[in-house]
Amino acid sequence: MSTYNFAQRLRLRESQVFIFITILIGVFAGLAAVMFTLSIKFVTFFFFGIEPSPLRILAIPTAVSFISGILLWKYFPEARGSGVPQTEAAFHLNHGQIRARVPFGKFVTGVLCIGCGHSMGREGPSVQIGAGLASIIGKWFRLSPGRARSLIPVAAAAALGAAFNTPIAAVLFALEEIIGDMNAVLLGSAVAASVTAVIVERSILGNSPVFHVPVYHLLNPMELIAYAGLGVVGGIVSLAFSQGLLRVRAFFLRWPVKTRWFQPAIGGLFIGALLIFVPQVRGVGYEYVDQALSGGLLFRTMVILCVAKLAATIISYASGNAGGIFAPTLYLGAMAGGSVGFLVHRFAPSMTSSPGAYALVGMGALFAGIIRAPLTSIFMIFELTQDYQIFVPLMIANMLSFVIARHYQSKPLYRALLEQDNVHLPDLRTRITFSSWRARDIMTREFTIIPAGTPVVKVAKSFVEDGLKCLPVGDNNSLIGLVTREQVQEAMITGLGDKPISSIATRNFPHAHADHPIEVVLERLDKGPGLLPVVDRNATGHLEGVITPQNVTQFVESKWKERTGSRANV
Amino acid sequence: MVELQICRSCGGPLSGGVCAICTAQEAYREIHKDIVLLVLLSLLAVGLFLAAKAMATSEKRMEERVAGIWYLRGSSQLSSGNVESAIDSFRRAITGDRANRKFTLALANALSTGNHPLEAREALLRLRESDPEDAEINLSLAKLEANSGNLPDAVHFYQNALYGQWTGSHVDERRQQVRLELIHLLLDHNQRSRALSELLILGSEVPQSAGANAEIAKLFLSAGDAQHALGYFENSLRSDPRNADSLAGAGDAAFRLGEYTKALHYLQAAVNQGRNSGPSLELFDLTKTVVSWDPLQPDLSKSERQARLLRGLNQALQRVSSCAGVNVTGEETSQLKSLQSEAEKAKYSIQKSRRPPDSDDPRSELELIYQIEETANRACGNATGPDLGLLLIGRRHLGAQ
Repeated sequence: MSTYNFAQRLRLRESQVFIFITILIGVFAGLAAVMFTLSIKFVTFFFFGIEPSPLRILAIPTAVSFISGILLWKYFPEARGSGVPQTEAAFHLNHGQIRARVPFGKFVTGVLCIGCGHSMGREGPSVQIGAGLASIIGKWFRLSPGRARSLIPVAAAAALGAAFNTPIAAVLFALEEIIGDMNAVLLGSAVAASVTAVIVERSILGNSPVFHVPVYHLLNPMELIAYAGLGVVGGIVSLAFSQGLLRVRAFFLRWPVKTRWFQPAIGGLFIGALLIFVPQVRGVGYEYVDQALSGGLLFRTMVILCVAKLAATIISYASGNAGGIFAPTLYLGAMAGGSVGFLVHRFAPSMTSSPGAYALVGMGALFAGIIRAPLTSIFMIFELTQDYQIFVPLMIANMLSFVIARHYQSKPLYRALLEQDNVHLPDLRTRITFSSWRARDIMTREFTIIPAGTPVVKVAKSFVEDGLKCLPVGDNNSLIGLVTREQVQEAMITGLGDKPISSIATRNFPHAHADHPIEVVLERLDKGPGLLPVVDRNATGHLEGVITPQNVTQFVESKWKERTGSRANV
Repeated sequence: MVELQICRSCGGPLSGGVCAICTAQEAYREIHKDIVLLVLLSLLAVGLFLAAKAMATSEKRMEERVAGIWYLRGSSQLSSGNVESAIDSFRRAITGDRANRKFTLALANALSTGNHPLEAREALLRLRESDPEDAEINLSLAKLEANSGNLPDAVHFYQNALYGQWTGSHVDERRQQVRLELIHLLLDHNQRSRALSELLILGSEVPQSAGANAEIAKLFLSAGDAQHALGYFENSLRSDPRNADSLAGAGDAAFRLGEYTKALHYLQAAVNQGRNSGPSLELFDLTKTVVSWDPLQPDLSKSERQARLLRGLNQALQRVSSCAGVNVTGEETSQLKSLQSEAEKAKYSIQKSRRPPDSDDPRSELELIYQIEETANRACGNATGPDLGLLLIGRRHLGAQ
């Protein structure tokens, strides 16, 4: 029997091996982040040299984006953009599974896109590369789905820690952004991996910090008003960036799908033209953030760089290149903060800190406004300065920026970007609810989708014959809208009977996902036309089922019968 | 009786339908796979680490090379007066090689030249954080503060530079040069006592050359220490007796000390060496007046003494007369009138030889002349020429009274 017990204990190897895997992921994510950073520098130098000619500045981003566009279109479609939203989707929707080619594809396309001058960051790609490597390692060790999934935020923390040299902020980012729950049980693993990655990074690149930050002093309590003003400016710039990015990206997404392969080249052409006049917005741009922090840039320069970086990042990202928004966010924050600091310092020099201090707080404010991870932003700036004095102004600016940005755009940017790709992440309410009745239990999988081209008159007959109130409308089995009996009747009265049904269908309608609890289902059913489509989170066009009020009643009745029946048996 | 179940694979006993031996073997196989995988991944990690390290070294070298190019470009731009471009080039150099203090110093100097003192100060202070005792960084900061008119900080950084760590050659000479700059700064801001203490140190450090002694002597003179100044001028003249600058300086120092005969000697020599115009000549004329009009000069005959007194009284009376045309207060007018009448009496007394024959002490008359000149000086403006000479004679002999 003792041999048997021993064998059973050995079967629990997964728990023991997990800690080793965590450390290994820390090492690999750290190495990947370091090699990614170095490769970008080499490639940038290779492409641009010391002082490139205007023709070269114009040609390089266009040509390289053309090549990377083909790679992204044909081989690595998941590698477009930041990598953070994709990592979140992998964690929440795909059980932590990322295709093995993704981290390699992200590495290559990320290096090409950022190296050729696109105004994008290296942190997001590092997170996706790290998460991809973790997924591969998880498969090699044949980990259970739960364990494999938990490696994703661990790798994200490690990669970000190594890419930005801020281990605590990286862990908080993994909890706050990737998992979306600060009470996550993965804290220990994330810390271990993040610290390991930072050790790897420092042992290769040395202890030099990413930025040389100024010594911070709050000279006068009245200065907090200026920081509040900076928070407002931060919120406005955050909104401008988020809204601009989403709108321009929506514009590119409206183009036919077959144009995706050359869209990055269009972005490259725009960037090339911009770089001729404002070369400071090229690539990651941390050297200029450093200059803003040291007070080495004038007001006019900082305002120009803020506007140019905003435009450059929006175009680079929206046109489908591979690169993140983490670094551009910090860049924008430094320039916006530095500009505010410059003005404030000019009018009250004895009462206010140097513009560099405002640039630093501005970085946190923009991070809170755009990325919507306020705790991460506070600790990130704290890790950069290692100065407690900065907490109060930073919290004031962050809070205001966060509140303003959230008021005018309720969805965080990463989530909104995913939704543009028809991927809907579960919200906190869905994740933490303990209800055992979900949409998948209530919905019916037997439904009819009316083809988009069906004439209205034909649909009117179906309504009359079947006594239905609302029907889904689709195109190639992809849900595009809902149509109600009233809409059809009105169309018939107004003489639109020959028109296709898609012309009168409602395209903006409430929907549910299979994991939504019954409370959410009832809430959304109440807001809709009497039919609630249940769609796939990974592809919101894919209709999995529908829920009507009758379905809910039938479901509750059946549950009631089950209970009473089982009691009667007892 | 319970029938013993046997495992078909290994022939071992089954317990609850499970074979303990097979389970253990399977677990061992899995562990074996895990260990092999861990070892392989560790080896891969080591390989990647070495590759990344090599990449980092190569990247650092590349960055340093590029930074060096930008530094050279910035230096040439700065020397050709293209300050803003130089600043940009130095910034790029620093981006490539942050650890190189030479680049930051160059940037700070360019910023200072380009009238960006705040940025220059920030750059230098950041550099100083890493190496607070570096003499060159402190010196650059000192110059920056001095240009901004911030004397306390400038002196603080000059002192740090003087007692900081110097690198390179000619350290003593460079340090003396810094002390000299500090002294000039202190003198420019009228901080004579602090300048004097630095001068005393400098005097003990410099080599005993004519030029160095003359330089220090001039500084002592500017700081108001004529005694040390005269000493250093005389040291300088020992090596180079015909140096007109040193002769004029020694004359000036001796004059300030009230050693008019000595001053006359040096000033005469300076005039002979070609200093026959400007302040030296004016000083020479004044000294000549003082020496030739002084009635208390030793070894004078009684008649010569009386003649000098008479000349002095006449000059003083002339000064009173010229003063009459100037706006003076009632009190000063009555004071001058009273002194004038006393002077007339003294003059009459000397001319008529009413003075007691055994009395050859002209102090009372000299005092009278001095009082007239002092009062006129207060009432009618600064004395010049012979009047100034009379004042100086009075101050020399009676100033303490």
